[in-house]
Amino acid sequence: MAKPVPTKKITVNRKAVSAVTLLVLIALTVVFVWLGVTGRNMDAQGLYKLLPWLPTTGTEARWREALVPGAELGENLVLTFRPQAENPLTEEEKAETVRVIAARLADLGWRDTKVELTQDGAVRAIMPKAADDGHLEHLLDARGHFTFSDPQGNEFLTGEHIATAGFGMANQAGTDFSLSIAFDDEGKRIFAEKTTELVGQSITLKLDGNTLVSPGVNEPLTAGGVSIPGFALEPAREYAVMMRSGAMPYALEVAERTAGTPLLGEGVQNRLIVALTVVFALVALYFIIRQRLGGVVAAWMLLVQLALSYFFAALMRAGFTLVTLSAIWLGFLAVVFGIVVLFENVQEDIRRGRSVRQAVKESYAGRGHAALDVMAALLIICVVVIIIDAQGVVGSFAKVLGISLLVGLVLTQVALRVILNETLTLFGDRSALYASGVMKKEEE
Amino acid sequence: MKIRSSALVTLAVSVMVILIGIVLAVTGMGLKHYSQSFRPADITQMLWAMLAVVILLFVFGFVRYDMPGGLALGVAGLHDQLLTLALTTLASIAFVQSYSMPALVVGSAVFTCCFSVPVLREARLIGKSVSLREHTREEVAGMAVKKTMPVVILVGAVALLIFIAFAVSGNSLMIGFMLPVLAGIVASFLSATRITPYLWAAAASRSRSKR
Repeated sequence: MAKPVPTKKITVNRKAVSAVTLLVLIALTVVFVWLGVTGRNMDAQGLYKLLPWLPTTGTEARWREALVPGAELGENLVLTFRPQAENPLTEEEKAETVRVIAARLADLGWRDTKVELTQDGAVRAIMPKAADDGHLEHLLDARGHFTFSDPQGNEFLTGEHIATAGFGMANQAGTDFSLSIAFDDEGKRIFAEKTTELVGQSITLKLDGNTLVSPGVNEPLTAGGVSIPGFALEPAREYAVMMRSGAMPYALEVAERTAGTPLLGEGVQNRLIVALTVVFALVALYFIIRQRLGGVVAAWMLLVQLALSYFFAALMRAGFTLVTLSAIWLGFLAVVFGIVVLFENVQEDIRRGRSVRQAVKESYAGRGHAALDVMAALLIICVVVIIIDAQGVVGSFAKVLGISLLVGLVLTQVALRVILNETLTLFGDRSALYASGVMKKEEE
Repeated sequence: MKIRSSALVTLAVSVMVILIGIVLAVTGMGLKHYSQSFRPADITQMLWAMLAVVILLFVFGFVRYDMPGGLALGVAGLHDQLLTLALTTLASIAFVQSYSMPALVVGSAVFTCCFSVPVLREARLIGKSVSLREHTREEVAGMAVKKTMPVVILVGAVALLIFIAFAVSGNSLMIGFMLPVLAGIVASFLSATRITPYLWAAAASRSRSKR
């Protein structure tokens, strides 16, 4: 018979483990929020940098590089255009000019813009300052009238027959880009007939009378579209945008270029940041007064949820817009709901004489499932809405809300539970620490 | 399927508001944009997204709870989405809207879930624990509304705080831009406290009597 090997029993100090766990988590939160406010240069020159992503009212403005403000909330660029026409524009022509400029801006991703007619017949476009990438004026003031002509110079097709257009890389090096054009039914027929006729010759694509490219026709192009290589990136993008928006009645010229205040008023950014911080503070205060230590943990989770939501919104280049902020704060509301439901049941159970640990366990297993249900249902909705409208405003909103909910789901269902258990181990299972106005029977 | 009269009255008022909203939107008197008109693509996508919200809420309620739960949640979604849009349309006569309106209307699904889901869960829980000889489903629904009212009020108050924070930060345009949020809070609160639970009660009674 083998001799029993003497083993040394290792006793783990659970309180110490809990203290270390909580300290590590607090330190991680502090570092994350601090980085969110200050950002960090990754090398001495600051070539590689982590931009700050938490909006603040201070002089530090680099967070606006991560969350670019839209025209509603940020500084604006105001461009005033005058038509290059001998006679004043008719009402229809004015309306069409406004429509085309707005469509081009929206196509570039700037939706919160304002395009309007001034009293002296000019067109004023208000857009975020960040929209000015050096090519903007040319894109907005060009008439955008495309024509296709044969080698003799006879125009056989105009941009009116272009149904949609896009651009893509024509070679693997990324130096050559092609313009893809799809025609409407009539355009399809005309283009097929002419390219059948012009096999072995060339066609010329012109913009506002200037030749852009004259590719050869090797075979009849009867598929209803054409892909034309030979463009640099920026012109290809510009032409695609102009083709999609349609042509303006006349070309424009920039008459004035000024800086403008946000559409929602001067100082709106700072006021909004302060007001939303007050909302967070009030909610945190309510939780702390009502749930005491549990409320501190809840406020901690809400802070992390906001910091992570802003972080992911910055990663997604969602911008500092009403859509992004609404999505983040509706996600915040869902997390508040989750915490309220969980803690209401904890308080109810404590009143019935259960221990706090038991009450937390019961809450997560019972009525607290409502939080899980709400977030799961909303997450499914977000995913489907993103599929329905990937590029539109509803889809953009659903993307940020979805991420915010996902973060909230993990925080309320996992992190909150773990941290509550650790605080219970560290500070003890005293109900007075977790619920105001409640005394356990034994304590009485 | 007999639905409580107060729920029917509320539903009828909502339907009237929705119809007025639709008429205003179709005639071009409502849904006024602060700059250009809304992009047709954004409105179309909003309508598809609204339909998706209704269907998904019904399916979620049906799979997670039961047929009456699915029905109640689906109707809550439909009511809240349409009423939010209608109230926004009405309000836009005085307060112009921004490009974010379609997103905020669809976003009212957050309020629908936060207000209606706990009431429905509570109604089912109470329904399981009380004798149906002593309490009708309608009474159970009433008890569920009463029981979950503190949570609904608290979450509603936070939602209102968020709306106020936005509204006081900007100029008069901001109030209009954020009105869909307020409309969503009102519509969802109304359905969660006056329509959804009683619709669940009627549907649950019917499915029980069928069995």
